[in-house]
Amino acid sequence: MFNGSSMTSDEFHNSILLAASDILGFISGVGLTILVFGLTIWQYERKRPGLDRLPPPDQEQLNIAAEIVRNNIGGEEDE
Amino acid sequence: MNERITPLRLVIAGLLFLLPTLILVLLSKGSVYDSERGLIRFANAFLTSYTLASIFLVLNMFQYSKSRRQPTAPWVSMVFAAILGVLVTFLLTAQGGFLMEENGSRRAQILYNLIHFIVSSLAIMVAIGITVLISFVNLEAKDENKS
Repeated sequence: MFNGSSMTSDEFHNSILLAASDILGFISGVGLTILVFGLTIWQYERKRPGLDRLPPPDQEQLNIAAEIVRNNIGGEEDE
Repeated sequence: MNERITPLRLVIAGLLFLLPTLILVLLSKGSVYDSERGLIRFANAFLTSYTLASIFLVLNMFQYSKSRRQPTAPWVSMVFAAILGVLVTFLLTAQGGFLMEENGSRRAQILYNLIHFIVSSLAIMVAIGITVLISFVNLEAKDENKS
């Protein structure tokens, strides 16, 4: 019923499913690589020593931070 | 004015796009899927994309290790992962091996896989590009009167 001049419906059916297998394999392969990449980084980061606790900021550092925030946030005054 | 495009509408649009192909596939009941060939195709695509993506990510791992005072562990692990892919490809594409398709030699099969990978990835990229460009068609100025 669906046979064409250059391709039968059987061939079309098989070609579509083979293309689907191809794309599925492609995506699975890339997915596995990303998983391996992530696991490698995760393993390495897990073994790194934790950051030492920093002392709380003193008044001078707080003033510098406030200055930076003032210079970058806030926008123009309403007229 | 156009309404906002929801993910559901995008899914419906995708299904409508695939509908003619799906109908043809579903209606050819007498056809038998060559599952062995499909499995070989899947394995070839899987191994090729795994190996090439691993090699690409090894280069990224060098960049990562540079940002972490150059430890060797991350990129050595990634190199092992890439070598594993290459080895498995070589083993399974031996003469009469599981991954051999209608190609005469191992070298021909590997080249076929590489070209297949390039063509498939280009096709996927073009499809993504077309989708993004089509989505731009729906961009429009914000309706100021609404708010």
